[in-house]
Amino acid sequence: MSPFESLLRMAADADPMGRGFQAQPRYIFLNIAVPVVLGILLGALTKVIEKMLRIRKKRGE
Amino acid sequence: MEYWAQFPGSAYHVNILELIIFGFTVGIMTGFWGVGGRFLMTPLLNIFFNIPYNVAVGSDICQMLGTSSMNMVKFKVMGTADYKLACWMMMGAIGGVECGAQMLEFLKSANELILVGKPLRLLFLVFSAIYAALLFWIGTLVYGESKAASQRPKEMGNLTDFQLDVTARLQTLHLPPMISLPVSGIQAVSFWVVMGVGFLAGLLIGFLGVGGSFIVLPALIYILGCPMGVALSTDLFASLMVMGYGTFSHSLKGNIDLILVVVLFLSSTLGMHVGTFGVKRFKGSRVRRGFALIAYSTVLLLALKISSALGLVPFAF
Repeated sequence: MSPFESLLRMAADADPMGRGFQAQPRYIFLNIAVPVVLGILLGALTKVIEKMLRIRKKRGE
Repeated sequence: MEYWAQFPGSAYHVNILELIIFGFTVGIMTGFWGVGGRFLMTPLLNIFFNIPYNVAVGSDICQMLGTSSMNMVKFKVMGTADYKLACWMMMGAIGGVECGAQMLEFLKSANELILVGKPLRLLFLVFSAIYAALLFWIGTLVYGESKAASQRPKEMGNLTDFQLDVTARLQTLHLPPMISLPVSGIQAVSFWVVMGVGFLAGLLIGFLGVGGSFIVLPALIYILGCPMGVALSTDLFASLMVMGYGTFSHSLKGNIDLILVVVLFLSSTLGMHVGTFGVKRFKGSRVRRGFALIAYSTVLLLALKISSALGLVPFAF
């Protein structure tokens, strides 16, 4: 199963209004870990690009 | 390429390419108008993709967690944040987020209303009305600001007389316990003011999925009197923690669509950078008027969406 398909299954799996619903621990973990990791990577990438293009920010930007 | 997701009360199909274009466009708007542009994400997700508001809110908070961690890396805030202030504020904010999330849950599980003979979800009706009212108010405020900006003395910043009066009253409020915040250079401030600011920001995050910075940052600078650098770092640090809790809470309630989060986060971040560079080419007053126009258009779209759901217009929207 591709990573996309497994994400799709998890996204479709939640039924919070069902009886005795409990969110999957993996679903909760990924919801927190994926944006944090992506954010750190994008932040580092942006800094590298800004350095390469010699973009200097003014105060307040 | 399409994907579908099923959440209680609704299932939706989303074309990934359309979602990328949408995310990129909202990103450009965020680059142009900051928090104002971000405000549009949740209602527009419902208008264009029929994504239920609970999923739009949860996924938006999850995205903001990514944005907060990106900003932490970009701006190196670890050395300059006031952690004591951030911790007190976070206590209020986490309470606010949970209250907001519970209010959302209540609306989500409420029965359908029958209006004009048509069944309508209470969540859809309440959120459409709240967002329409909020965007109309912000649009009017921003439009008024664009007209008045040139006439106001610059040293007073953007505060009106009424705001200055409220600020002065809050700063001198002696409601114990009083706390001192040496890093921010504040000798004594009421604990309840700090908690109150955090709670209000948290409530907006948990319930509406809008960033709390537009409340926290002015409050830190104007009400508490924090230096700009400390306020920025503290807000970024507190945001990361609060969005983390918001994501956790909405995950428990099954309100997050991770694919939506990933696609929108990547496309809107790219758009945001383009918008930030683009905004320099336009005059401030034009940018503000542009936002007012977009906000009013969104209000119109929300009204059309409600009318369509009630069968009051001859086309499906």
